Amino acid sequence: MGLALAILVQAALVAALVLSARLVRQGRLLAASSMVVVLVVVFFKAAFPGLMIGRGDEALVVPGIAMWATGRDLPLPVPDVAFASYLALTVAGCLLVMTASDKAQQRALEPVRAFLVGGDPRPWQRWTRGLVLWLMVPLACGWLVLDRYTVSAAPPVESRQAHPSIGVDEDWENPFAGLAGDEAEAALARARDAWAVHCRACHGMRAAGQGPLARGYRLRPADFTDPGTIATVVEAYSLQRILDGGVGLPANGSPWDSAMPRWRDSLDAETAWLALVAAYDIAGVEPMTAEEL
Amino acid sequence: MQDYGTFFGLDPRTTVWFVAQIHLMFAGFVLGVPMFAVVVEVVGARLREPRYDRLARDFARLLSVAAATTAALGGLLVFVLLGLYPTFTTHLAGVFRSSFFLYGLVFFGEAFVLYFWFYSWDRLSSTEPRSPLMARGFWAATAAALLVGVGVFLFAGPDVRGLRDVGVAEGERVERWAEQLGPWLARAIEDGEEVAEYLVDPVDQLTGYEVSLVPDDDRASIRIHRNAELLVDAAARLAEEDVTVEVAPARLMEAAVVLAADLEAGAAVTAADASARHWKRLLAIGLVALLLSCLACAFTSAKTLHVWFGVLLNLLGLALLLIANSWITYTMSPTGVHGASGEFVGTTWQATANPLWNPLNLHRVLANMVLGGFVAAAYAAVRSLAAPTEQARERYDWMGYVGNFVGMAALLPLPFAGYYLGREIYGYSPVMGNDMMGGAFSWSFILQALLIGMLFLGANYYLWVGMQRIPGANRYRRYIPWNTAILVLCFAVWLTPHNLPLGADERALMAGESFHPVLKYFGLMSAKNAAVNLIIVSTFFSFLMYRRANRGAVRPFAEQGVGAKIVLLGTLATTLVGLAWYASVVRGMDPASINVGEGARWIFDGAMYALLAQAAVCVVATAMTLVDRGRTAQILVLVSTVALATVFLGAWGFVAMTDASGFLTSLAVCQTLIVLSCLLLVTVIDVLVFRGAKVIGRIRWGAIPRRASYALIWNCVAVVMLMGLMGYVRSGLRDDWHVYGVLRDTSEWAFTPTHAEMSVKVALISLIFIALVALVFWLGDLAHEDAPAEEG
Repeated sequence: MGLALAILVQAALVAALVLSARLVRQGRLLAASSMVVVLVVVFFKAAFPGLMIGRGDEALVVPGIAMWATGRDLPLPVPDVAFASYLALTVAGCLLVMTASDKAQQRALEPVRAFLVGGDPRPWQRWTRGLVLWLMVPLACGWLVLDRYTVSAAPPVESRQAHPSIGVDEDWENPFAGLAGDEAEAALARARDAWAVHCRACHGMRAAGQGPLARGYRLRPADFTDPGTIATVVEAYSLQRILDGGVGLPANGSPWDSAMPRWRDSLDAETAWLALVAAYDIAGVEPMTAEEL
Repeated sequence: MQDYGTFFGLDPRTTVWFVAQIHLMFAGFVLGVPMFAVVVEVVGARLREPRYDRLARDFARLLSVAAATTAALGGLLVFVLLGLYPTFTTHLAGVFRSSFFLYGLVFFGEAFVLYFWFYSWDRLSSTEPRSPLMARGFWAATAAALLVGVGVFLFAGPDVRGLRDVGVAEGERVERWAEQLGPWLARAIEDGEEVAEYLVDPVDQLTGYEVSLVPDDDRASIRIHRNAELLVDAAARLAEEDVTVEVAPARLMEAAVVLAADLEAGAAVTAADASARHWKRLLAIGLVALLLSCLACAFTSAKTLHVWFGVLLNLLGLALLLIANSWITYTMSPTGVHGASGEFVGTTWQATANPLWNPLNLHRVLANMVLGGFVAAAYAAVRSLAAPTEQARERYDWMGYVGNFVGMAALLPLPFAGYYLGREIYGYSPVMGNDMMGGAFSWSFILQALLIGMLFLGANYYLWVGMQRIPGANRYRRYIPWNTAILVLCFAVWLTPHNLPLGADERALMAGESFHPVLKYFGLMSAKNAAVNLIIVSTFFSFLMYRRANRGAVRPFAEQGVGAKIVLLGTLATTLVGLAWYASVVRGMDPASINVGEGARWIFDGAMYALLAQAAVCVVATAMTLVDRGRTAQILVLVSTVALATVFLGAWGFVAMTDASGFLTSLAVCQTLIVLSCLLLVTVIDVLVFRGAKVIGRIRWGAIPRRASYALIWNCVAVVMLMGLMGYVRSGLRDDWHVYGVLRDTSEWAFTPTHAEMSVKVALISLIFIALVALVFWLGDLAHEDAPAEEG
């Protein structure tokens, strides 16, 4: 990842440099100033990664500003993966526009060509060229190699699955699904009791993953009010997750980062279903259902 | 335990994976290319322009060499399946025996027609009329046969869904009976009572069946006499005999549930039988129409007869595709299987018409066209790069353009077909759906987004660079940066997963939150749908720019004739019917049926108004076109499409996600229909408005930078890798099942591979396929080495 990011940063820098030079020559100062902003962002990202994600002792510049702007009580990091992929796309887009016609390509490459092989440059231009070609390029290559082969103590990037692929008996049916009136009310009351006893401590009163114990985990309990969680799975799947917990997750996609207990041994099936009913009810979402095809 | 073998030391899974995927790619090419080769031939015959005919023949030449390789790989696939997965193959043969035979026959027919079509090109090239009177007669007879077919299709088909519901209702009734009576019955038997007498009344009331129960020491028999009046034809086959189930008392309830499953299966079988009869009738009418049309073509001219063989080739190819797809989709969503025993009790047709069959059919037809178009374009690009003469370069440049055009034309609706397939997978099994989009295969879809994005960017780039050879195109160049910006932004959204891969320090900074607070929204379905729709509209816009690049002043619409008005109004009517139909579906939707509260109906209304607004815009645009404001009308429709399908419904999706998540799939259909209405109406307006417009200058074929040819090759590689990737996903979704839920894969290779392993294998498959394609094209060109220069 470090190597890829470094190459992209280099490419973006060169592209931005060339473009801004060209834009200045053409008198398009607004566009040129935009490119300068890009240059500054890319430079700071490359030189001081902590500014973007608050790594180490460096200031939380971007996350801090984002925190202030969004009114959140947590910083807003710019993940490396997102930065690298968006940057790659931007560079690709610029290259496509710059080469969309021979004329455009010629105009884009002309400053580069003039810089590299232009005839009879002034002394300061010769010095700049020498500096770039004989000092900066070797230094950049050296940095890339160093970065590639330096052993890092950082743990690897985690790519998680939203809904682990577990074997689920799709025929399981919620025994409380067909209830109505007083029976339904009574079942719901029991469900909330079950939630309060077994789930609330971690998942919270609002099922938003903010229970009193939530901050104690490295990865906080799932926020069920988020429409991307239990609302996108069938009840049988959610029940399976309750019963097997984090330790029951499959080898595929491991290592998992889940502190969910395995409830199979301590809850009977009815209580597990009640907890499930409460999760959907409190979070205010509905489970996915199979369709009539 | 099943038997599994190895293939010269290679594990069976990898062997079948490689052989099946490469066979599928060749088959996709062989089935995809004739679709547009015949269209090009027809255009050539209609316009009497030999260059079109030559182009069609160029495409056909690629086919003739690829077909033999496809067949050889198909044979190899059968052998490796027989040798490595004998149990699975036996199961499949038991279910699809009759369609295996049919496939063989159709394949023979296809091979014969393909070679006849290709080798009779010169012999059947004359456009001289033969016997116009006879031709008219047979054309009229063909039309009559087709009308009869349409009538039978519309008015004489069985109500399959109704029949199936009967079976399900009866089954549920027995289950209820089992639940209520089962425990009491078991207890009564244990107590040694004469329960038969007790049973008569309550069982009659509950089930409508006449039941007698004969207990003895350790066994009991339930005898159910079917009350014929309560059953309709669907279950009649089962009602002819009394059903006796002998079970131990403790298993009475289970026996009743099995009986219920029997009833459901019985109804489904009967429904499938009725449906099969219906389709056989339609097939017979279709064959008659085909025969009559053959005679009509034969009496029209030799060239028309040749085109008829091309059409027949496509029909046979389509039949092959449909048959093979039924085997594949059966393994994912098997039907006709007994719920309790897991044995296949249905008919072949029932197994064929499984829930995923049609979605995959649609998806593969379009995907084959994309593959065929881009592979042919890449071939042309290579020939163009190596062209020895200007003439050859011109010719292959044009061929590359047509290939790219075909690929793009099929690529635009492909995401909709993919969405339809995915939706049906979710509908069939939400667990399989979750594995696909949120589980083990979710990262494959990020790779898919990457490849499709590259494909769209490549196709757009080719058009932009290609505008260089069109006089007058400079007027439209200023839109390219904006279009690129839109594509890149949408691509970024499409590429962003719900779960961003995060480093430990990044995760620590998020204080344990599962998802990135802002970027997580890009990973949700609403954002993705909005992005994909905008990518499609932007690409369509690029195509419009290219299309009108060398057109100048247009003629007044009144001069386009009555035909143009009819076409325009017909198109408007089509779009209105589509939009209004779905608006009425949304309006009549029962919230409870999709697990949504009654209070969320306003969300349905929002989507319905969006559809109606688009319909209104289509009416206005048509009116504007009629009064010579066609180009403004196009802009109006494009703007409204972006505003409604992307901005409004994109945001509406997030509202629906919170309060009515079950409505999301319907919302996506609304977006799709709005975009499709735009593509259809704007294309028709463009064709009509610019018909006969002043031409600024002729397209200078061949005058295109080399990088455009590389863009075509790039697209070919991207589409081949994409096909390999999605083939893996489709097959892998069955998890450790040969036939999902029916026949388990007990081999040691039944695990889902890591993404690294999958990527390497898909890349290898792509490499082998491209190498083989290059080889067979080279072989094919050996006989025509000098042809391009001579013919050009």
